Amino acid sequence: MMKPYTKLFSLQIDDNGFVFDPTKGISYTLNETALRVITLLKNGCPVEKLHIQIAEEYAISLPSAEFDIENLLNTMKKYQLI
Amino acid sequence: MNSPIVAITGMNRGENPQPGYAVACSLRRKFPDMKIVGLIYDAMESGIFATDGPDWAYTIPYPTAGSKALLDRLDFIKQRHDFTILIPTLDTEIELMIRHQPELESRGIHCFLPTLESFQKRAKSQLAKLCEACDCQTPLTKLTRDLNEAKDAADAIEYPVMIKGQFYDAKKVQNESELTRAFQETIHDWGTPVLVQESISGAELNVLGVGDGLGGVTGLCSVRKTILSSKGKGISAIIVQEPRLESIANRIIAELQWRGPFELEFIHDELSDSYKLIEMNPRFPAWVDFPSALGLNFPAQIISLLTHGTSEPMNQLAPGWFYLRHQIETIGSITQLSQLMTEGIWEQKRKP
Repeated sequence: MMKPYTKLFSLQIDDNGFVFDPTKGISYTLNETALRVITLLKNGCPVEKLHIQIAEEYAISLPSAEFDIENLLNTMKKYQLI
Repeated sequence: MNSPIVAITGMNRGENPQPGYAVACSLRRKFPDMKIVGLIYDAMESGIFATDGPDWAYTIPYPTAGSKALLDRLDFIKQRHDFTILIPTLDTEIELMIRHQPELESRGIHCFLPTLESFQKRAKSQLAKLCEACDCQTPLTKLTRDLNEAKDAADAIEYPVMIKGQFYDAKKVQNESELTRAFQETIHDWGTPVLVQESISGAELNVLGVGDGLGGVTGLCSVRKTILSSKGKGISAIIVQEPRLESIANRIIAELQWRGPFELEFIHDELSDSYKLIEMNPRFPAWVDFPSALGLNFPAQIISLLTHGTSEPMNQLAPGWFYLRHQIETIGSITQLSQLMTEGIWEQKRKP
């Protein structure tokens, strides 16, 4: 079942990957791929299908995409961003 | 209608800025023609030399000089400039002004201050009790009166601990040797009790507002300190919107029926993801002009509450705005100083 990631919608994220968490007052920067993953999530892409989309867009293997996405989501969880 | 003449204390904007100059700037944003009397303790308080500082500056006696000296001086100043509102901005003045409310009122000088009971309930020594009543948390704190008590308290709490004065100052100490020095410095500057407090690592957040005296607030501005000075003061801070902080602030103000400005200082305990109240300052902070510049003008609310009994509801500020403290040099000449140094007066300071 898809996790809602509701916290994502309270973050202010601009097109350059600059992220501001308004509850904590802390800002972060995302690289291009991370920004793409977050944009897909916010647009309703199920987390289980993210790696398929990213692998296709960036011409990388599915396991590699899956590994990178898992790393990104774990980092964001650590910073309480999702 | 002409704005009232307002007297404000705390005009120094040096290394450790006082709030008075920022209060004056905020008032002028709302009332550009307002006349302001700067009440100072020292002729070198930098804010009086700023071009947009007070119109006139007068020295007043230190609170330790007692009430008669203060009231006599206020009488003298009022005869020259009929100020009707007084905004004290320094921790050490607030209790004195609260105790002298009847005398001040009888002179036609109005302050927007809490009751003595409310004031005392938010003292550092009473914070645990206040937090219990408001269902919020505060770091473990022990009041000490001599070095041995402080050492015992630190051992019980476990190092590192914070050593705090009753009004001001906080030092983090890692061991008994550092504690000894910090305790002696604190007791020298601020007397007893000295507080020994659990040290919590995490972001520092402040909530600024004005209590209406009926349990409500006229607005809140929450910030996270982003750059700290060596004294732990916020050189930079950013507005946040954290409902949990606002909820705690509302509960505290309701419990105290707080009347007047306040600044609640919190630390975010990363381990428990909770906010712990460090202290409640009974005055405006030095950064009060920051929300004023964005449209949430707390000092102007005080004027409105005192003159009309109400204040316009204020919108919350959007998170993401930040301030950076910017120091500049103000300029004075020895001739300007002469009247201040000899008579404690600086007339016609500000050009119309």
